[in-house]
Amino acid sequence: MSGTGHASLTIIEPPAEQFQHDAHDVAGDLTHRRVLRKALGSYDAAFKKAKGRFLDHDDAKRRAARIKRDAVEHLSDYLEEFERNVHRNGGQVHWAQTADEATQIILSIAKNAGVTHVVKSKSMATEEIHLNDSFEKAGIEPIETDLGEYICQLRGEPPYHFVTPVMHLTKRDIADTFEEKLHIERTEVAEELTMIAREKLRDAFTTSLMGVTGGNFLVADVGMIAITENEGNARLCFSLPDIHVALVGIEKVLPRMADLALFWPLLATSGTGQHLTCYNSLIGGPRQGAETDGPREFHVILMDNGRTRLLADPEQRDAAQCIRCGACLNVCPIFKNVGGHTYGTTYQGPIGAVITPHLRGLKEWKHLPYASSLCGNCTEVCPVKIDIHHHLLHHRRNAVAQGLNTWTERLSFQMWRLGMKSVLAYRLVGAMSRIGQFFYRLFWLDQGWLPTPIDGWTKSRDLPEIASQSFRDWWRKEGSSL
Amino acid sequence: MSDASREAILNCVRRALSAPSEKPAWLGHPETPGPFFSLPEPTISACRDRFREELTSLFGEFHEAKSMADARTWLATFSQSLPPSSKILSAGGASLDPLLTGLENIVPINPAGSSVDWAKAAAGITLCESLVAESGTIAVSAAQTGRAGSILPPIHLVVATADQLVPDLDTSLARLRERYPDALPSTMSWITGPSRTGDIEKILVLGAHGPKRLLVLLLPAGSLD
Repeated sequence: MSGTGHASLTIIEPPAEQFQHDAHDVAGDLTHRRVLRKALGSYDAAFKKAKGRFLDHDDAKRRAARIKRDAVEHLSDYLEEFERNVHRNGGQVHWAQTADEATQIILSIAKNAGVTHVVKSKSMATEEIHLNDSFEKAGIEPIETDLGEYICQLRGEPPYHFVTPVMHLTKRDIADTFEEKLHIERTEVAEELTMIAREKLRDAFTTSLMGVTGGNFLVADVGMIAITENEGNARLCFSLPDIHVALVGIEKVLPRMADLALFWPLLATSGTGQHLTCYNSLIGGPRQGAETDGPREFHVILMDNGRTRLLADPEQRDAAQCIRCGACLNVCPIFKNVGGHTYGTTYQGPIGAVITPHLRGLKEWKHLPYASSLCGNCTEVCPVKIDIHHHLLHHRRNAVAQGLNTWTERLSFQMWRLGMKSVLAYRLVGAMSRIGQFFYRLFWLDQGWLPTPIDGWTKSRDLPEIASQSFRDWWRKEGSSL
Repeated sequence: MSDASREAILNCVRRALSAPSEKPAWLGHPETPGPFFSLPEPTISACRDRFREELTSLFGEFHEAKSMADARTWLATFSQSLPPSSKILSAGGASLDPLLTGLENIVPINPAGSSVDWAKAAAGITLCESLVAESGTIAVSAAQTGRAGSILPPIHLVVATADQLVPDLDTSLARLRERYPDALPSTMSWITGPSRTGDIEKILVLGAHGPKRLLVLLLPAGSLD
């Protein structure tokens, strides 16, 4: 299979082992590193430029964080206000506690209308519930219309990055995919590839009875959802079909329409390094009396699917402020090394490592908070000031407190504690290490071997040499004369 | 089922939020009120200059007409620049009749509400709600021009008047609420440049799904009243 940096085809359970396996493969893939470096380099330049347009970007971030904090801390009130206003505009609101419930609601809307195919714009919430699989099982064809998502769908791959789905692919990879799946004459020109997708999807837009979108914001005071995009496919999805369905997480609330004057440029700056994305839309219902076109039905599905578990953790609640800009991925040294697919989650990178354990359980996903150098880049760039890297530490602490760490880890820390608490034990360990080192270097150095379970250390590193004399001994001999 | 889920979710949220969260340090930091970006002077000429600069930097096209006659001449030239027998549809309603009547290839859609096949149009003409000078953005609404006319045809031509220029996004949002105090249009879009994508190796391509060309024809204030 062509393409770089995607997770292996081998399915390994549990997710932690899959992560280790894929991280190892991807980190050594030089083509992948080159592609990623280029993409992130151009993001970085654009981001700096867009950020420079703010008179005071730090102040704008604080103002945004304050608004989102208020939205999250009063979420139930704002959700009820949102619902009342959607009803007033003639739209319908559904509530889904789980992925299954959300899927059932969407499928029943589709079946009632007798749709054969649906057009979809980019939506991580629908990725989260694997909506496309459910559509297919129900005999309804889902058609991804965002260019990146369309390419993912053709390749049968999940998005690599929740803002830039095919960041890891080259023109050549995409040309291969189009040639193989669409049976067209080969081209590696980005513009021509884009125009091929445009032409292929025109019919889908004009013939589909149902459009499915996500939503970047739920604007409470007007009962409208806000969608940010560049291509125009979301606008086509909510303009042409008879029915518009939007699946949105409950945490996406903004209190007021006026807040968008800050959030639209802030999201564009952090997301793609634009001052404003090409299209920022508000959708508040089906077509109104005198309007010339637009859907007859407008449905918003407000989905929990684990989000209330995040809210219930007061220490990490600010992670619910996330506006999914993806900036924390783009600056993360781990993301740059292991790539997006390795995470195995809908939300990759640092913010994914914070929220996934809440959405899907700490037990299976506790390895993600460890996939961090704790450098704090993520926290620094976050436009809504989520304390991301500290939350990674909080998860680690919680995992230990709940006894979810391995017995080897527990044993090592017990021994470390023992050694640090007793002078005798400390000296004994030092002396034994120097003797052990002699034999290690004599017999096993070339193989870089340490016995299981501590062999993880020497797989990619040399064992540092232990000094022949301890500081304690040196001080006793030389220190007093200084 | 949905009502039970509604209650369950709202109760879960309320219960979750009953445990207070710690106040982060930044919360105590004083805020600087005022605009987020450097804005043009709130005069028509300053806003127009800034709007033109921003729009054209994003590959949008701009023409300022000094009179209705000038606008008609420009529109005729635009229409002739398209392949022969291209159909240009206008969702601008009756207010654009004086501008468009009799122009070759341009079909005003009157009355509003008639079913239109936008997919066959070479270009769509719409009005707008406001022009945002700071970012070169055009606000359109379904109440004024429907939904498809400004997104489906490969060319979008916006007819605006100089009194629709506003300095920033904030004012543009506020103006819509003033104009529609009882019920906002069912959709509103803020358009900043022609449709684009950078999904393939971050290479900029215009006309991903929406219009490849975006043109603004600016008329003197009050021309369409």
